[in-house]
Amino acid sequence: MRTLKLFSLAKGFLLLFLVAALLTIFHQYTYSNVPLFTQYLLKTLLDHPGIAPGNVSVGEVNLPRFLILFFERDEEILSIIMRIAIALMVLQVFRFSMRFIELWLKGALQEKLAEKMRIRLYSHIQDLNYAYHNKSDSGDLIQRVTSDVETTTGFLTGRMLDVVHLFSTLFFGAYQLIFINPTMVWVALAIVPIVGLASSIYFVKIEKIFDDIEKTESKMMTVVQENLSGSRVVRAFANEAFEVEKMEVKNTEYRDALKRANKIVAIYWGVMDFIAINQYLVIIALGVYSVQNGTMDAAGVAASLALIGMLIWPIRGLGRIINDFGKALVASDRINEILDQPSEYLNDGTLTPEVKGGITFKHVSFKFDDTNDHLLKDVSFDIKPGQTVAIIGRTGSGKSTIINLLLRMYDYDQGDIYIDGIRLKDISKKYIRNHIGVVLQEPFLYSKTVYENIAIAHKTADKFKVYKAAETAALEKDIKTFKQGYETLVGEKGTTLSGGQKQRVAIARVLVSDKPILIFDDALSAVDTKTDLMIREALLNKDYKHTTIIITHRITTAKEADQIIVLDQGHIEAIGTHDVLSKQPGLYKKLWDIQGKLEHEFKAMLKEASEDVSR
Amino acid sequence: MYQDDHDIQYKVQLSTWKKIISIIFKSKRHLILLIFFSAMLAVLDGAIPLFTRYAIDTYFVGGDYSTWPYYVIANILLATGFGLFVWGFIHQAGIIEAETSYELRRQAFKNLQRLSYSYFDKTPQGWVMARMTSDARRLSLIISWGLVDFVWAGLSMIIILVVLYLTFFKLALIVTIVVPIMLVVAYYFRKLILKQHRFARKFNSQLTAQYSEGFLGAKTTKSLSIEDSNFDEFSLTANNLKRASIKAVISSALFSSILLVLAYVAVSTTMISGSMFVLETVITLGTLQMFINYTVNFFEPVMAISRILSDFQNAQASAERIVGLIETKADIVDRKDVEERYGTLFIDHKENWEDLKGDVEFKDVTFHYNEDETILENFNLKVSSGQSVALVGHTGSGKTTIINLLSRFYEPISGSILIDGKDYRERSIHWLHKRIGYVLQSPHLFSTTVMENIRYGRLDATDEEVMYAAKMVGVDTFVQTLEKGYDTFVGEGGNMLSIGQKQLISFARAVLADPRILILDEATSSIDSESEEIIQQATEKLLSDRTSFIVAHRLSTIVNADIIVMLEMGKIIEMGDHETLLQKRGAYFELYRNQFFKEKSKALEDILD
Repeated sequence: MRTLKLFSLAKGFLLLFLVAALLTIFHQYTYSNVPLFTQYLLKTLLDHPGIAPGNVSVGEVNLPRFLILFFERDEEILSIIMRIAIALMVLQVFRFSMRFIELWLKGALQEKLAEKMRIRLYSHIQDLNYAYHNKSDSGDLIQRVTSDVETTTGFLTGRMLDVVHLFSTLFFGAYQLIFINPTMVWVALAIVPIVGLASSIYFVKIEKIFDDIEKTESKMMTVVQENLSGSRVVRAFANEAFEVEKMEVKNTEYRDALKRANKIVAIYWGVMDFIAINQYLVIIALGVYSVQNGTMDAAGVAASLALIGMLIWPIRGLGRIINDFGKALVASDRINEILDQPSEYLNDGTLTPEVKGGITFKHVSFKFDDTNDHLLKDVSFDIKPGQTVAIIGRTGSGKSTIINLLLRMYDYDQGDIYIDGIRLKDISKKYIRNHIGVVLQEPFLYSKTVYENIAIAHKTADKFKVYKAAETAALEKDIKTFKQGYETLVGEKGTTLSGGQKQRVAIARVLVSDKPILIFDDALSAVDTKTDLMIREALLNKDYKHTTIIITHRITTAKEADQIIVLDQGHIEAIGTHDVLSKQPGLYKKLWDIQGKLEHEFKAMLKEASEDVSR
Repeated sequence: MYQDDHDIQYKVQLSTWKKIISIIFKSKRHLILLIFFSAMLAVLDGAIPLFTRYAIDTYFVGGDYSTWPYYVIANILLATGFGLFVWGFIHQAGIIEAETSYELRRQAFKNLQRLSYSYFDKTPQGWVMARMTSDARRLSLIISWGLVDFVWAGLSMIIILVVLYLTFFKLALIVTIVVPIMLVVAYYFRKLILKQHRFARKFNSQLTAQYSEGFLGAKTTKSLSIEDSNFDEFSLTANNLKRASIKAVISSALFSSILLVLAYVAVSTTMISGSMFVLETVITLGTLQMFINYTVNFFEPVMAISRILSDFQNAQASAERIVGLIETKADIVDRKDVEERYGTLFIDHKENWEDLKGDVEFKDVTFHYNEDETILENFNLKVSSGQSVALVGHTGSGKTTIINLLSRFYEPISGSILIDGKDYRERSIHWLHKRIGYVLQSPHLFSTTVMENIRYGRLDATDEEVMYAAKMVGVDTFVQTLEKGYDTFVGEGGNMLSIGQKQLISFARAVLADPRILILDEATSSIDSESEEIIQQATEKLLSDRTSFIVAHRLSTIVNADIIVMLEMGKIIEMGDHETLLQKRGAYFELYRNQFFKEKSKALEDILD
């Protein structure tokens, strides 16, 4: 089953694979003919009078009939020799041209499969729902889409063709040998299982040590990394010598693990070569016996010595193939685990109505499948187009969940949400996300220029619109301080922006086009109060009507909204305007009172301080 | 400057390789053995066709079997020798590889410890890590195995040529002629292939970056619904990568095929002319077979040598990077005479070390990181032993610079810093660092136990002393709740602990070190109010009875300081105690008011949290 799934990843590449396999087989067949040219040459010379008195050649050379006929067209020995050499040359040029095509095809096969898998994975992961992204570790995902893809494609193309190569080499080597001396084949093949077994054992053993190497290396790298990130602490406590000692221990452990692995590698290859050379001796001994018998000639022995390599060398690769098969299984499991996740668009609406900005929640409840606690319980409210609504509540009260449901990052399980009276679930996901401009608390910037980041969702937008958006988001001043202005590269490889700057880029990003619904998910938390106010005023003055939802911690921000929704542990504690809520008992009033008290406290303290001094 | 350039240097940097050679020479014994084994292998490699020739001429053609038993024994010896030498060179090359990379890392790491803090301030971590891992690995790999191949291939070529010329120079000439052609072809292709590989690598890292962005920015991408344009960009990169990789494959396939064709031109020529010599009975049948064998075998070392040359070209960049790391000089070093008296980083002359009282004076100190800016100008500040100084001001006002200078992470460009009345450059860096304490804004923990992390403050402290220090600052309270107590592993970077707990541990470290001068870089990151209170108490314990410099953010710390220094653009604009400054209604007053509301409204947010 796992094996089947591994191979199914290569679907669509069978034809290309078969062509490459045929070329490999052809290559091995022609290769097995090369020693026969030498054999034929030596045989011709053997039979020539005066060269090896008392010797006659035995048997036929297993070259294609037409070649033999071509060689023997002329009786003159010089001409025969010329013919042999030229035929060999022609064969080799042809063979190497085919080999060139074969290698090309192999490379193309591997790279094309890798490309297909990469694109498929990228697109599939993009389509997975937010819950999946939320719980998966991006480092692990990267590992899967890079090295696991390489391992899998490497096995499916390279290693699988190696299998073809291995067996065709064995087959043709044995095939040619049979014509020269059948006994020799059996003697040579006797070694195959031994070498195969030895190499399998070797690979299992070495694998374990490679694990050790990886572990000791990562421990050593931890020391280096901690030394670098703690360079100030190391210096401040003058512990440089201690650090050097610490590194010495880990560095030595790593070195010794490397040496241990190498010891096994050295023994393995030493033994293999010992066996191989002895194998030659056996062949020669057998040759001596056969020549005495008169069943073989010198030319045949020379050819067998060349052919015997075809039986010995490839077997050594067997262990590696088995080993890689195991790795590819694990890697493909990890890839298939991703591909088996259902796309979030499997469950999508189809409508694309005009969005005016009316939002209605009717008895909406939501919880994750794997928990019992509801993140939202029976939430109902009604937002009219053009209203500004503040949502306030403790961490974990469900503020962000409301936004996630609205964007259909999650799907609610009870109740319903309506946009301008149309069921949210009936509207296309991409369509609704396109019409809601949301600024997240920790916005993500792409490693592109500031300009490209602002215009990211509208690449063809008018320049003026982009500048205007930056202005509204109070970003212009900051951009002016950058050396390259709008062309400044941000993100991992570029300038690091402050949290507040990032939030404002994210705000500008949703302002480039006129979205009927704007959501700020605590999006001004890293911006100072003054700028916060500036941005909000600029938003109010925008010349088109839009609904605004602001999730905030700042009570002064909430105060100005048309409607304030107070959330508590997933349900709505109160809805109303500031005037109403600040007068009725509840969380909002409590917050408001503290704010007032604070200002009072500060004034009192100042007074106290000045009295202290004057006293 | 810190780009990972894979560019090949065509110019050989002698000084770089000198350093590398001195490192390899540390395993001299293995080096000699390696050369010996490789050379012996080349000899045996060369001997095999001779053996076969003997067998053909004597047994198969000649029919004389009298030497057969000796032949068998010789062959078994040959096989044994072969196995032994193969084992030997792999073994030795592996040791040299391991030792070289070990030594590269060791020296680089040791030098890193010598470097001033300024180096780490401006050098990305990943840059150093790459040198310590992939560069060290690649370099030692290429050196050790390249050496094997080089000795083997060079010697094989020589042996084959010698044998051929000795046996029959007319045939040998044919083989020799093809070699220069091959080298030219090899040179051209290697360059091309390297270039194409670099291209592919570039696209590959682009691809990884796009993956990573796709995963990290998943929510943002969805909410902006820009999946399609992201996908198009990704497909383009994937396509570029494929095309570049296939190009590289085609070049190497073409390269090896051309070389093989050339090799067989030589083989065919040998066949023809060799046979003619056989017919004229100038050479035997066995010799012909031997010639053909040698010719086929000859081109393997030729290819190996062309491969090694391009590998070394590739390694040059790695070598330069890592040698650069080993040989980087520290910006701040002790004077020769100071070093003689006080010792170096690794060997202290503790007997000459004075105690420290704790008077600190900045005298006309001017400093800047880059030429075109001024951070501090003619800065003066005098602090007596035991006083606490709170440095306040906006980002970039020079607070951190002052403590960087005081810790001698940097040195004044003009003016001087006096400790106990003496310019601190009169004493060694290590003397200073052993005697001042430093508590970081973002505490740095090592991935070991709580106990060892605290002990980092004073390595020779006993367990009891560690625990005493822990009790002082309240670490003990939360350690008691941990299952393994002080032996609890804190995880990588201390991520098993909360920020507050990490800060307390770094406090305990400083208490254990018990310095006369303490530098505290207060955290701006917010923690919950309960921990805040514990930290506040710990701070008081930490500061009592020492000279202290605090980059202060917490109101309580600022208010309690003996001297508050308000900085702006590297100058003191207000200085005095809390009451006096507040009275002034100036910059400090503004700052204080802002901070007051920030801290208090945090309390408000805490209600929400």
